Amino acid sequence: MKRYVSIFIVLIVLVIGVFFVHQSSTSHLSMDIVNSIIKSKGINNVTWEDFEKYTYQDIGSGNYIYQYELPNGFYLYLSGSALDTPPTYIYIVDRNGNRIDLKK
Amino acid sequence: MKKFLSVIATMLTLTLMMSTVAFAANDTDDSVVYNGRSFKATELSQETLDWLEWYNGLSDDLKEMVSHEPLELASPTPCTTTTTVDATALDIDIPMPLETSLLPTSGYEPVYNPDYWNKDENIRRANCYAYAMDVLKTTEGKLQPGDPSGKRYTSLTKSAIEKAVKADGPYLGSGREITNSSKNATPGKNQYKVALVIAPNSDYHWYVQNRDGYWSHKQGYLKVSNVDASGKKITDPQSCDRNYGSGLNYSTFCGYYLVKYTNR
Repeated sequence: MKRYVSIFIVLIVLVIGVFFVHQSSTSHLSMDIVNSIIKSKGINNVTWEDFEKYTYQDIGSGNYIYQYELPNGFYLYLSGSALDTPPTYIYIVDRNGNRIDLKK
Repeated sequence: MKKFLSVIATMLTLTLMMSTVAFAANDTDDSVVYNGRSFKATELSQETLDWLEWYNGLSDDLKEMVSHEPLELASPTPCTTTTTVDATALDIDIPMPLETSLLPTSGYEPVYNPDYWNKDENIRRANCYAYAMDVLKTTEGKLQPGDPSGKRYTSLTKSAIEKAVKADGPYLGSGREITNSSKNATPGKNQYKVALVIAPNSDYHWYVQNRDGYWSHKQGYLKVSNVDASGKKITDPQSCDRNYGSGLNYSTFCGYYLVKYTNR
């Protein structure tokens, strides 16, 4: 019986492990996360650090413009002249190029 | 122990069954709701369904900001008179230049030298502004108009940036003097021409005229380049393609300026 219990426990641990590995490999930035950060902090208090764990590309020339990929062809952008102050502009661009300003 | 195991197995089975039922229910429910109106999901394109999923995930505040909606979801509108024009009205002969003409130079322009600016130790010490002023920052980072003189620009407008840049002049490298200019003006001794453009509510950008007459630029930490957004060599920053997509379009041309090396 002890052997069955150990096998069962090992199986459970494996299942949980696979679940977490899967979660971490797919933890992309989503619209829900964006909404949740903005709601909890307030749009004017959002900082660059709030999104630092997600993959971005700095596409800005004079300014810093961090581009984050969202599902379904959408992108989130944080833009500003310095990284030690909150972004001046926060906006989302959809796949058709339509811009939705969240902070302006 | 057997009892314990069977309880756990039953719970796992029940959980699996519940999730399967939930997915099945989602699969069979083919109606979607948008602004109080119901649509059959099977009659909408995948693109519209994706958009709807994104839209319904927004908070009410954000929904109000959305200015675009897929045609399939648009409210029916009464038929109105359409304004039309004759196709022949657009049939105009547009003369094309026979050869590329470059804007006048002084011979004091910086030489186009991407190898120097793209070096590992330099590439993150100059953005477009530093490149246009022909300086490198002492540390990594993007030089901002007004930083050298101690008062950074505060709004993304031509006047604010222009004012800050002119104040920076004496503090840039061994000293610069920045003055307004025009497209066809010929720079004088120790002078070269730059141009400022703005992507409204996003970014600003600078172009520099090099000694060969073409213009080059450095987009942030990227490599120096002398081609525009379409990959064409830049002969005039005012007319080159400045639309990089993804909402980054330097559509506002602010003007030409002269940069003078004051201590050469």
